[in-house]
Amino acid sequence: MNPPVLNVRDLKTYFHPFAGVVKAVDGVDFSIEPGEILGVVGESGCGKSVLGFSIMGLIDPPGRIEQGTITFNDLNLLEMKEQDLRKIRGKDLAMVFQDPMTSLNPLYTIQNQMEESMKRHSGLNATQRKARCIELLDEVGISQPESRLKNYPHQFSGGMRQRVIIAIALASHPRLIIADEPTTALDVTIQAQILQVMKRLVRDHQTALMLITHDLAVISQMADHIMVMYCGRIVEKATNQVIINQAQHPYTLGLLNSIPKLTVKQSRLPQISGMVPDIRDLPAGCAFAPRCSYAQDLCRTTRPEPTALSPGHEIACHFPVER
Amino acid sequence: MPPLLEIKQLEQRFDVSPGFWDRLHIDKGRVRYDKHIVHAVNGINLHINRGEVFGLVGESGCGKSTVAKTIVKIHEPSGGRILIDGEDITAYDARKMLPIRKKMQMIFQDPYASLNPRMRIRDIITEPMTANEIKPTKNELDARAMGLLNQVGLGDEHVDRYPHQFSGGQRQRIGIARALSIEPELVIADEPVSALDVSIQAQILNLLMDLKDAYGFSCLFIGHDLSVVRHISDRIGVMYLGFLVETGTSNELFNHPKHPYTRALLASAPTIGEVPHTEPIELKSEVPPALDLPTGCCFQSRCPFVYDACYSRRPELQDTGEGHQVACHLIDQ
Repeated sequence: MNPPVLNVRDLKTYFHPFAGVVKAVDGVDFSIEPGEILGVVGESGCGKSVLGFSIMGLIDPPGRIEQGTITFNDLNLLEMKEQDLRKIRGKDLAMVFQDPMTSLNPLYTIQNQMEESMKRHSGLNATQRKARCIELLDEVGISQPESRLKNYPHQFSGGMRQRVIIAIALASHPRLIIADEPTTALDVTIQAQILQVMKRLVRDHQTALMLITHDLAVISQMADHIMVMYCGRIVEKATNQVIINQAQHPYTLGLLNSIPKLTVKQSRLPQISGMVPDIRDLPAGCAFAPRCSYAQDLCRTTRPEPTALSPGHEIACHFPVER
Repeated sequence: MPPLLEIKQLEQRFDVSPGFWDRLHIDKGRVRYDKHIVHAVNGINLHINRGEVFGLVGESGCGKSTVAKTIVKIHEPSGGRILIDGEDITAYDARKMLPIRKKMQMIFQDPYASLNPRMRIRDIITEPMTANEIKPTKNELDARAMGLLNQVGLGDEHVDRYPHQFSGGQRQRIGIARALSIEPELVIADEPVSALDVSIQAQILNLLMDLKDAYGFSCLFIGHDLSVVRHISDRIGVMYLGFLVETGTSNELFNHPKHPYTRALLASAPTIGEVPHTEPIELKSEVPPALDLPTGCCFQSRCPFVYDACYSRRPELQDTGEGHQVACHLIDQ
């Protein structure tokens, strides 16, 4: 078995606003192997984006990483100095953001922005950099790459910009790409194109991909492993097939069932009642207990710890749903 | 009996021309003064029967929201006719529209922008009644506000709060209560669930369907998520670049999609463990701008089956049986 690219142990990222503590990420364990696509899924506010930012070292006050280790390529990211982190960020560790309209600088050409990380991290000279830019744009499926290098972001459509951003992320052959909702702002036909490009590139370059999204359907088509988060914790973690077909956590099941089906017409959707609780004031036991139809007294008093149901299938629930 | 809503050959164009000097330019020795027109909606026919939910799907920029806004006459239509209950409202001015607007209400996409942050929930919900000069007493208004809140799953204690005290899903419930306060015959829902999380989305969809059964309104439901639109709609229309390219009952359309665009949409919609009905069609490029419409079919630039007729003639909607209509030259072959 390959050693993992990224190994996260007991990570806790808390935010300290004026009142209370927001436990955005509260004890998360996982690892990613080279070439693996890990899907992180959950609803807004579950801490999935903060998890991505924590790995990149982009947590600003009032946020703080309280505890845990993040091992990337045998380096402990949490103990590194900012200047050392900069040597890794954009080189071995790259990020793709959600909004293609705001993550490019409108005042610089595409070439300028693509070369930025190359200048810092690679020893390429100007002609080599330009050649690499053209190669990258071609790889992500932008036609006439040479003429488009001189264009500004406003001359590109949303889908094209996201392709450029993926090209920038790929520029120096990263070991891990963290993609935070990369296709949420795009139309379905464009989303399908972008996802296909990402999947192909990840496979070709043996890059690991951490795909963060709220869309279980997208995750189910992309990921090898899926991690379901709720209120800062992982509630279920398994391979794609297991999550889709044999999920046992009531929250995962609820999420799966509340998505309307394309092939079958249902009269009403099975719904998860209630709302996500205020993260500053979580219930004592399991955070999902107030919305869970299987909850019993134990769930309201004791927080379930992640346990392995079968090899590779971890679940944090006192009463897994038998199917 | 005429259908509740009927639109005939509806057209909507927007003049987006820049300033005088930018429009003026010299082309082959001649001075030209160009107009830039966005063809948002290009001759759409559709009708909604009583008690029916009609879903309108398409990608961003295809004109689906413009259709909705033109129906309630937020925009004046550039061409075509709009009939409510058989009454032609195309030329009605704001005053004449007042009694018509009692029959239709909108639910908007963004629950954060569609509620006035300085009004209490009570006033938000009852505003349509006061605006439409339905003049109940203060007590009646209060009772009505409470009743509506309960119906959409909120409690009496919420009536004096402000919008910022609610979550997105709760705000959307308030938006629905406001729309239903004057018991409209037609509810126009413009992407009402696309800003919500999946678990909340399911709650709101169920609520809409329950209320539809209780109030018996008809609905124009606009969305970009195919599975959501299929779930709630009786009939569906697929729009592309301001044209209606295919329409039919939701079962017929999803089980036997005929237009290449519909098939591509279905193929690219991500699903969980479901096998798509049709062979996957992959679209290469992106939606062209609606500034200069091509002669011939609107889908020619992305269609994998394009042939010479598609460049010369614009396909009309044709009946293929069972209320299924398709605008594509391939149907003739």
